[in-house]
Amino acid sequence: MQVYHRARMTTAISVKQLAVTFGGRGNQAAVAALLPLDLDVPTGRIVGLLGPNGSGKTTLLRVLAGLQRPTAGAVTVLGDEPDSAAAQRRVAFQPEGALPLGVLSAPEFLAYIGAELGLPNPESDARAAHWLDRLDLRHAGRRWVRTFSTGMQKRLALAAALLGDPELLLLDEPTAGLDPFGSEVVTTILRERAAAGTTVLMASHHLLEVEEICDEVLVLQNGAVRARGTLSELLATDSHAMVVRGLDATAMAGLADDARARGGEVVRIERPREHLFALFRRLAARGREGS
Amino acid sequence: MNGRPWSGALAIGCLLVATALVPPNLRDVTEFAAWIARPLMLPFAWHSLQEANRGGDPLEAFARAQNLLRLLPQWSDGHSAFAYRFALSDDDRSGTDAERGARARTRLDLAMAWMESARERAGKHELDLLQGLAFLPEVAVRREPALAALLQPTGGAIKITDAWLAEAERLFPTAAVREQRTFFAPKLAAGLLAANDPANALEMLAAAIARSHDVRDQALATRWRQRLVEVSRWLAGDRTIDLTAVTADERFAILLPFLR
Amino acid sequence: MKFGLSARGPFGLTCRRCLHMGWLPTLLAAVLAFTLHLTIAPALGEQHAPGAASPWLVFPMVVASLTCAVTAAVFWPTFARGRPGQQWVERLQRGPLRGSGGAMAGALLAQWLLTVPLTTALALALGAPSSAVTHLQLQPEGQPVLAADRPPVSFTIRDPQPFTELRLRPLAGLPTSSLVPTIVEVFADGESLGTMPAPFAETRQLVRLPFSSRSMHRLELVHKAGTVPLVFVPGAVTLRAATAHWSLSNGLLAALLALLPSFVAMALASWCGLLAGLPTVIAVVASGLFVQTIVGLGPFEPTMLALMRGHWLATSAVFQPCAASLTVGSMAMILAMLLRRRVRR
Repeated sequence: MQVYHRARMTTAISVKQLAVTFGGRGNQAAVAALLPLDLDVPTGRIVGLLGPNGSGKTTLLRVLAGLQRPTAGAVTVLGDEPDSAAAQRRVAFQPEGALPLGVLSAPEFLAYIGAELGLPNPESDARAAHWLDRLDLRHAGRRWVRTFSTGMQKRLALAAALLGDPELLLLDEPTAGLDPFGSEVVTTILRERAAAGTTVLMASHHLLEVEEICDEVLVLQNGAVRARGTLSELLATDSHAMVVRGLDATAMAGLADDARARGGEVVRIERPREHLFALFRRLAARGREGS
Repeated sequence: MNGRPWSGALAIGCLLVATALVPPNLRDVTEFAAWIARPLMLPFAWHSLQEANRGGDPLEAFARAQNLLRLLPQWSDGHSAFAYRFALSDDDRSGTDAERGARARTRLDLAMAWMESARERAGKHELDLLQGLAFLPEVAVRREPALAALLQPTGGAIKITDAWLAEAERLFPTAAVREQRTFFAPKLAAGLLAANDPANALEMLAAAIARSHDVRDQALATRWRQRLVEVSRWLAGDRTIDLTAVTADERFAILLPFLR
Repeated sequence: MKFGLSARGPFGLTCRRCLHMGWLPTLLAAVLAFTLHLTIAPALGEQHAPGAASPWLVFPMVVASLTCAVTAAVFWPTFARGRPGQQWVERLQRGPLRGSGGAMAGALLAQWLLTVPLTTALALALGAPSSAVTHLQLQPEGQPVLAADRPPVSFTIRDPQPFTELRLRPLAGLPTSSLVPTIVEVFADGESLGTMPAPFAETRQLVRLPFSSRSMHRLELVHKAGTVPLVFVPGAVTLRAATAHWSLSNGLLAALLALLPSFVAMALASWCGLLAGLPTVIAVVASGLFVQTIVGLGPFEPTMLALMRGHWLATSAVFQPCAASLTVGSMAMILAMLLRRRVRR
């Protein structure tokens, strides 16, 4: 699978004073889903969209995908209107929830997506095969998509989003419901895409994951931006911490005393142990060998 | 454990016991199914019949009518009306007399068979069907004269009529039914005379004279009997009989050609 | 990797899905209809009334239509509101109906493929004539009433083909004096074809006048005697052509005309689906089909009747209701397109 490197364009997403309001007709009360917000996302960045439920993350993604008309403000994606034909080809949107056409198999579903993206059939099939392999979906064979587990559906949704080799990926909860392997594959792919010049804007509740792969985060609450910046900007503090490994208990106690004497705080002293993910991976590998 | 499996088993058991105690018969089940289907099907059956009357031929209309009447098996008037309508339809008058007669015979047979099959479920309205059966051949012959010759081997239309009236009298021995057959005597006699069977005609008139004593209106019966006696005696060869009263009575008009 | 995927768009995918879902119910309905036709056939001796067997053709046709239309509505996500994955399709499909139009076309093709065996093979098995003949319905030029004090009722025939039979089925008015059935003489291009073989005394009384094959441009009905005024409403005067057509082509055409109710039902459903969920959309499809097929509104019923009666559909009168149905369906589609633009954003 060839990865296409993008001709650099400085801004992938440009939002000026974007506001979205629902309702407000007749007796219906108006609900502000997004308060006026500005946003510029440079190309090739992975931006995390954080916020509690109902904070406006999905609405923002829908606006950028051209599925929701803004009540006010101006939006361009890759220099085009979000609902323009050009933007629809260059921008991929992976909404949350079930996939459509659930009685198709994964290859059939991707063939449909490829056809609608205007890909020639052989190219579409080749790309589909690549992503099905990469996302570990080949074993699904001719099974209907609606019989897939949530994780499989998520991976297929990502495959569909990636099929058109988009320059901008809008992902709504891309790893929700995925097992650790699936999450790892997805994050790896997203990093690769970003390295190749694709801009990624992903809404997620998985803070660790966002912290791991995002260059920048945007925190929304009640439709307004509460915080924004790179992770180092947002997470930086004046104090320093030290992680020490390899000392015995006595040496560790001495070091702790010394730290306290210098005004520091000993947060935790523990015996080193394996990371849960490493354990999980080892057990799974053993299971595969056994089978 | 919840009680659902037990209650289900109990319900099935009760159903089996009920079925064993009062076994359903096919007729009841059919009748019940028809009772359910009738309100759903009737508007469409009626609509189809109207459509056939508008754009189809008489055979199609008769077939549609049968579909409708299957939903209304006790509607004896309907059976008679649609059977008569079909038997008397004459949209195709092409061909020779024999061909037209044959077509009329087929229509008559189908109509009669349909009415006869309806008797079983007509209940108290069976009498209406019997009377309809009795008079249809005679009316059909009047509509298509070529049919008369084809009915001759079975005694002619009049004989068929009398046979059905006799059946009606046997099953429904009321005064009205008996009188109907009694007053049919001139027509029957005319039919027998037309078939060149004067002996049977005389015998039949004698029977009618005897039956006239049962007529409820005796004044009417006396006049009627008198006319029948006059006709009998004339047919027996007594040319001294004065036929003025008979000639003036419209009910005997059918006999006049044989009284010259 | 080769998937061998022939169907990729809404048209092909929906067509394939409808065929998959529809073949078994249609087959079962056809077998059931044929069995019922054999078991509860009208008592007609050796004669056949194929027109009366039309319900047994209508039943599997309706099953096929309903299956295809409902399958399309269930399968294609933009037919109803709130369907799973609707945003994917909304975004990918740029057309004004977001793929519903293609899905409808696919469903219609599937229905046609499913119903062609019904309108050809099943129709023949139910007794439809093996050849179809033009039955040209004539409309009077001037006033349609024939009575003693009225001028002849005349008709212009634009079809130049030869005819062999005239069928009259007028409405009968109240007699002007004591009832004397009306005798009608027929003239074709000024030449007498003869008197109708039976006088008219009752309404919708069918009388046929066969004649040797001839073409004609003008037909005149002249009052010869009788007191029953006759009214020649549409459908009351029919000329039967001499040329017979292959019944297979009649069957193909019938299956094509039978698509109209489904088109109208799906068009109405796609309109309702902008604001309503799937249950409502299915109800609209089902009731739309019910009204147009079983109840008899639109071209479906006359088409099936004409097919079973052996009338050549290409020249029959079924195209008038077709135009009305097409108009209704197209209007619903246009409204759906306009509304979708408003509702979407």
